Amino acid sequence: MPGSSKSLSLFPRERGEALKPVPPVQVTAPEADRLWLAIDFHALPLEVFAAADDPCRVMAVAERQTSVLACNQAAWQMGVRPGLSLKTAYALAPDLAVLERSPYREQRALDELAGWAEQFTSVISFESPDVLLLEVGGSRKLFGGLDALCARIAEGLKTQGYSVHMAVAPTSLAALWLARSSQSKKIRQPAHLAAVLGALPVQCLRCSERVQEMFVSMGIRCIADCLRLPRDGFVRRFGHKHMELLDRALGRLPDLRETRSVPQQFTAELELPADVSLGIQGRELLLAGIQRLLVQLGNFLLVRQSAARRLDLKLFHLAQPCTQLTLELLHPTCDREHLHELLNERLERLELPAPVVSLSLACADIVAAGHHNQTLFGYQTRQQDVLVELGPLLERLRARLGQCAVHALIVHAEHRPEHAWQQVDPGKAAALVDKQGRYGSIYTPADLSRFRERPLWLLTDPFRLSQQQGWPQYRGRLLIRRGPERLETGWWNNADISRDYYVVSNPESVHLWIFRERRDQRQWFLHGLFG
Amino acid sequence: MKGSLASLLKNPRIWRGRETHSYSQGYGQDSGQGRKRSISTGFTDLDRQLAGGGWPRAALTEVISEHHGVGELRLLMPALVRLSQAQANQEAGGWIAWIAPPYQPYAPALVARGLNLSRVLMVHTREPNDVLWATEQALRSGTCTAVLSWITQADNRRLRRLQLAAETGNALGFLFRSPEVLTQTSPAALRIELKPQTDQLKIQLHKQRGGSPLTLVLPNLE
Repeated sequence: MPGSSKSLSLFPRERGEALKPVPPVQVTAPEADRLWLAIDFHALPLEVFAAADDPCRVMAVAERQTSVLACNQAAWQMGVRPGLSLKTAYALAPDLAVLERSPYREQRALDELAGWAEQFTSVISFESPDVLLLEVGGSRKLFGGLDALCARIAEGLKTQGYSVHMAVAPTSLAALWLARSSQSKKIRQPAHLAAVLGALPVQCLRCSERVQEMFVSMGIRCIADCLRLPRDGFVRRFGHKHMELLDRALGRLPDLRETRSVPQQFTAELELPADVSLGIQGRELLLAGIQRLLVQLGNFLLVRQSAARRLDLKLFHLAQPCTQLTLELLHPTCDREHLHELLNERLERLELPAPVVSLSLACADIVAAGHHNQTLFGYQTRQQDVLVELGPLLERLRARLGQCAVHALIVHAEHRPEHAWQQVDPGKAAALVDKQGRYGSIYTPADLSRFRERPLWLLTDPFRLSQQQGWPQYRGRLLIRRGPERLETGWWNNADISRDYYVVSNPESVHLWIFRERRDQRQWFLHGLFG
Repeated sequence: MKGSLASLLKNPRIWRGRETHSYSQGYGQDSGQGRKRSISTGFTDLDRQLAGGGWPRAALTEVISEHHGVGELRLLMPALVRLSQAQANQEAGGWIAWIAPPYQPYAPALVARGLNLSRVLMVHTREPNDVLWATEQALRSGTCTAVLSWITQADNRRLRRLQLAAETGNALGFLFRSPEVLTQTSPAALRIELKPQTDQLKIQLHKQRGGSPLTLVLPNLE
């Protein structure tokens, strides 16, 4: 039918429909490949002290007791500001607590934060004294876009108690300047750099006094003014250095930066807030501190996809050498809960000679975490996997009961009963058994039929039986069930035996395995019970 | 009418014969997930008398005897051998844990009866608290299919925790105890008392989940 062929056509004009206007295609420049996130910890000197966020205490940090460097919220309300001399600060707030600035703590905090930030990117750079730079261009897709990533980082830092200014730019220097000027901007394309940076004051360039005066006298106040000046004139007047900084910030020159090298071993330290006493509350504080260190270890192992095989925990005291605790794991693990449980068990048994002031956790033995294949139907496990599953139970038992308390058994081809078996580690016992679970390599079928008549319980030391009228007694008179079996010699390792074994039963109907020595005093001994 | 009948039948004081029948059919059948309700003891007379047709799985069994060595291990041997050889038969295998045994188990005799020693774990401890703790850990872990434990003293509350641990880990728990505990109640699913006679072993079932107490005599176990 003619009508239907028109309606089936692909082209709208043939179908008789009106053409819809096509919207213009928006051409946007692609986002820059490398994006740098600068995090400025402007209150770091104060926040490294654990008690800084306490709203009741009025605190400030001073450098060499001259002037206030940073102060907390309570001090701000009393009128204390950074830059005031200490005398004025004390006058405004009489109960001000002034702490000396600690560069060591700040460096350690930055190291810890760099370790935490490793989960977002592997390119991390420090800008002293208090700025962390992360290259997040490659991480955008994994974390769902730049905004989501920045939000996540901001939340993580807020939970840890740091107040920050964050800025994103295609060059690290631009991001650094924006963050330091407390402007939280995100520049995604290099073309916008000049416009946004232009508004920044010229103090970002960190120039000398002389150059600063020259800028002021010429009326140059912001970066945009600098960019408007002719290039060669600028270089002639103010030197190459400042032009190079501007070029690097705008992306005209490559902006190279020294990045932090990835540490291969894990070490972390923690100072405890108060001297940990030896009582129950002390133990809780200690465990809380260990939990924090284990969180850092967990992040470290997760980023490297590894598992720890050995942990060294040191507890430091004031006037005594430190107490050391080493945890060796049968099977490498990165399970934080399991490690916490094991350390808890060990600490409960530990006697602390003095109060603990700080902890340190080191992990040098790290292996790549093995991946286990899972089968489709779940319940079929291979021998290797079962030993892996036993690992946590074995470690827990050994942590509480001791290393020698848990073991497996193997057999030897040996006629002397006490030497025919041995205690071994659970992993080694599997080596002697073949796939059918039989011990064909050690015992012949004749051996096996003979051992079927052996008792199931053996006494580690044979028990000497009392005699009555020349006949042995054990809770009553013994009756012979099976005749003598002679087991002799063993001269090769000085454990020579010469015994006649009998299977007897006593009036309580318990079957016993006793023997009589053929040399010396010809005594009767009890060696086993038929369970 | 149907609603009131259903609510009446839900009353736990009503015993329905069909439930016991389904229990005794539970043994030896694979319910598709590899979970069996009980493990056959290896002695057909005993299997017939036990509700469920064997040692109850994911539950505690109390084996009570006055002395060690009356035959309690030989009674359990067939079931333990089957469990330890299960890995060779490509069923889900696990470990057999012996906790605080009174004497040393003689490994060549165990091997001669067919036990696979690569699945046997010995735990030596003396403190009663440690024994209970180790038993609970082994039962709960899920990697042990059977746990044999020689507990000296435990109150009802600790035993209830062990029962819960056995259910969580789907393990068979065997507790070896002395006759004075018969006067106390226990949350174990099965309670048997062993009394040796001259050539036989008299087994008295004191408590069975889903069955009634009775006595039977097994010929010489050897």
